[in-house]
Amino acid sequence: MNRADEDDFRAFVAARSPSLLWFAHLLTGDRHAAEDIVQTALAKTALGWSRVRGKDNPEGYVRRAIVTTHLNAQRRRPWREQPRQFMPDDELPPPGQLRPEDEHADRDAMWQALAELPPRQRAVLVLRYYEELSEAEISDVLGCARGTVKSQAAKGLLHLRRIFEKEEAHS
Amino acid sequence: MTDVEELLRETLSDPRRKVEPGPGMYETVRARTRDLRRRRSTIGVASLAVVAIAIVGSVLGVQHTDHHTATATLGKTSPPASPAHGTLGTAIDIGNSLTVVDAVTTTDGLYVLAADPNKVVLLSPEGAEVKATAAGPTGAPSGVVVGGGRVWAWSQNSHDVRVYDSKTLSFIAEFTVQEAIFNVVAIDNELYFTTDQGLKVAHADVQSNGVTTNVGSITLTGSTYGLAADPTRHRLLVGVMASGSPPTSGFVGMQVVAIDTRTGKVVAHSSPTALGKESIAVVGDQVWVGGYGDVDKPRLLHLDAKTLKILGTSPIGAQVGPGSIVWPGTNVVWARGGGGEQLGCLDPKTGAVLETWSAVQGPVTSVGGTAFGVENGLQPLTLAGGCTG
Repeated sequence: MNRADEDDFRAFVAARSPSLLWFAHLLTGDRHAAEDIVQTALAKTALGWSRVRGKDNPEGYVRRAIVTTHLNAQRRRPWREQPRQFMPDDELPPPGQLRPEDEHADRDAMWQALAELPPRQRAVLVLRYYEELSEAEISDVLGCARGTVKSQAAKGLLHLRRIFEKEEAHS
Repeated sequence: MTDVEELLRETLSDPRRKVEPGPGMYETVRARTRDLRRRRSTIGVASLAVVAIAIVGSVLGVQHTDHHTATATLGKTSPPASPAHGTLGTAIDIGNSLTVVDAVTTTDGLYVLAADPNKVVLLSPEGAEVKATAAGPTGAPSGVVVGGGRVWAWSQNSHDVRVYDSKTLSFIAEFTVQEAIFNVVAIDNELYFTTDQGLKVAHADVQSNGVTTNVGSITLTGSTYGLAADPTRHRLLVGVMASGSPPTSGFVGMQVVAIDTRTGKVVAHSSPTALGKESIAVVGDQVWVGGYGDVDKPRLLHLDAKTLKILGTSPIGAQVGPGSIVWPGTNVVWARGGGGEQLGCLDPKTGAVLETWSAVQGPVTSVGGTAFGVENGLQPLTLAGGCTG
């Protein structure tokens, strides 16, 4: 990487890493895994930065690298660490203080429900409902057919609905 | 009726899920880029070397069929630089195409927790023969521990825990924990586990084949995660989030706390470590702690077992990426980068790297000169270079 590329890449990392980390956190549910994946994706990007910087959307390229790095890692690790809702570093209220009427309770329940989804279903939902990508764009990112995107999204949403229906039936 | 799609959008946009990059993010990325470039270049050079050796070998084979020694010399590699680079043996067949999730080896046998379908399998110590099998916990199986003649297998997502006899795997009891289980150790007839609600204890009552939870006087509450048994000193070592004067700004990491299992009292604690999601390994009088944290601080720490004073780190600490995970062996400590695949066998007294493996991603267990890694099944690790498992 020459000096101009180096400066450009440094500026890109400084400007976009918070957004990339947020995205990776949504995919993984684990802030440490998110940091690891973003670093890996950025390192891969750095190797071809002179080519990537010329693209219309370099950040989109890195996000694709984040998704594929994450899904590849999950495929290779049947023993993988499970994403957890209550990690020590999650800034959640102390035990016993998370009340049902808490304004964040529904979102926390949804975050926990997302942790139960298989990685690919979760990735499809994050790309659809956070990145607001179309089915065609998601199929491009994941390298799968549009029909697969549609069925994965439907299965993921169905699973989430069932969890909330069960909770509502309980309450 | 909850609008799931709307709630999903709100959850994914919730600013509480935003993660700030740690200091030194760019430097870490550059270091990983250099490492990646080096690895690709090594693979390229190695491939060229293999091709060159094959070509030269075939030429020599054709032209001088009686000079086999010439090709043999070319094929030889120079003695490995210290530390030794280990290899993986042939994966152990536990039958039925089961997916290995966790394993524990003891002098009595090799205990394997498998999925699809969930099973606990007892093999002979070297893994050659299946001695017994039993149905595993419900949900996604997470881990297996052995202690006091009991085998305990648990699932993190279903909170289901099953107890078996360690000789026969005959089922003793089953119970459900209300909270999310993080880490587990078994000592004598009791199971200790950290949860999102603190440290808990389960007692297996063999007489009535029942289990009671939260026995004893240990009442460590709050955020606990890492857990290890120190049977020599009758202690549990627990990772507890270090508390500053609230509101604490920034991440202060966790402390290791020692609890006397006979009294339930805290008898020693370390200073804050700047680590989270930690793992703790006790090997004799040495304690090692791995975890995730800032890349400009050690993510692999050596502690004195009695005082829990932080003594130092290991040379492998600089290669572990954003974090490290540790497991205890009989004579060594195993350490692997949290985001990588490089596994190291360390001298627990000095942290010196005795042997490394380039691709072991799962848990590692060892006893009496045999070691196994979970990597596409259960695979024996060849031990050399002073690594005795």
